[in-house]
Amino acid sequence: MTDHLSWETLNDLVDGVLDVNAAEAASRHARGCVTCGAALDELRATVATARALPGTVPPPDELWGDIRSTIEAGKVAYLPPRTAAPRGWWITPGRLAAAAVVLVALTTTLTGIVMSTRTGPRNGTVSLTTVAWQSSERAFQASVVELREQLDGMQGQLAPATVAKVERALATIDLAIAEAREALLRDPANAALTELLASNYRQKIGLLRRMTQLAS
Amino acid sequence: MSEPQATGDDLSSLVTSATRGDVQAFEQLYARTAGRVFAICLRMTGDRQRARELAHDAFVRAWERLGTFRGDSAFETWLHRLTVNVVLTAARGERRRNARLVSSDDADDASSLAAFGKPGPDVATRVDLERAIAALPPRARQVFVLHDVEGFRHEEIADRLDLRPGSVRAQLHRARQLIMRMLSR
Repeated sequence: MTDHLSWETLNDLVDGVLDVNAAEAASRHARGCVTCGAALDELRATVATARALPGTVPPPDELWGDIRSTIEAGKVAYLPPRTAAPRGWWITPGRLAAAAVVLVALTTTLTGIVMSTRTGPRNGTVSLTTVAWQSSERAFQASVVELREQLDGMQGQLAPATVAKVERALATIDLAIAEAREALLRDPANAALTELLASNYRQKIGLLRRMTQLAS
Repeated sequence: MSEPQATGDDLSSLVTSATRGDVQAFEQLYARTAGRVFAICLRMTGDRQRARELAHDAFVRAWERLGTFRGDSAFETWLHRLTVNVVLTAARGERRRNARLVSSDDADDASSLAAFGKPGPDVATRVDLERAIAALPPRARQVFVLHDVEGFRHEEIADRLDLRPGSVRAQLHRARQLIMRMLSR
């Protein structure tokens, strides 16, 4: 035979996405063609092996310890997990914009207070290392990226004026984050600064989440 | 590490406790799900160190978001999807990273790969396949793992990777072709 089955047809046959007639014709051809029959068998074997791969791989022994450290740090650095509030009747573009303004004021004030006092770690709190807060920060940043991506997919569903106000608020929070971060790099064990950084991230994530709820 | 078997009720009560801030309950959830989460991270990234970081991030994210788990699906399903999201979100930011799982002199990874399955005649085939998956280009690897290993449908993969279903098919076919070539060497 000269007209062998294409690679796409072989794959579609294995995946069961060909229509009945096309699948019958391809199977008939494969039965009568040594080349296509062998290719089909090999492909099926490869896919079957992939599907039979073990579902688990032992993680590194120290992984849980690292996770626990981050979580414990989080108990100091940021709020315990909260139930996500359903979109409430109270979320309106006007209220969101107003909330953004209040947030900015709080963020700026809080940052100013902490940066001027620069308290050390409080008694009874977990001593946070650079690794710990940077690890927490990575988790916050991942949440921010995810919410941002969701929002990007909802463009056009919020009034431009609301978006502009919230974006300004976000920019201010970003400045506060950058300040707190810079201070933490100089003083990585400072629990107050860690709390401030986490608080700023929480505000940013909260604002993004409310925008997502409003746009959905 | 063999993961303890748990019934849905066991997991449900652990989730409830962990949501209230019980770290020990979360540790038990970790013990029952870590192997699966790490397998997803390792196969999706092809890089053991990166997989470790992402598994860490996935569990920290899960801890933070336990309150959003509504029980509409099994906890494991929720966690696996969260893990895939963590991996794909990270991958978007590091497209140019050229990670590879196994180099010829990487004894640690080789021993890890050998631990994938129970001893048996097909362990060598599995290890070869794992190596081949790890050597795929990132996008082809993601599609192959999600479709052929994790059982996602074309449309789901297209949605998560922001690709057209036709592109997912093309990447999948390409990945299989590359894998078969590597296995036949």
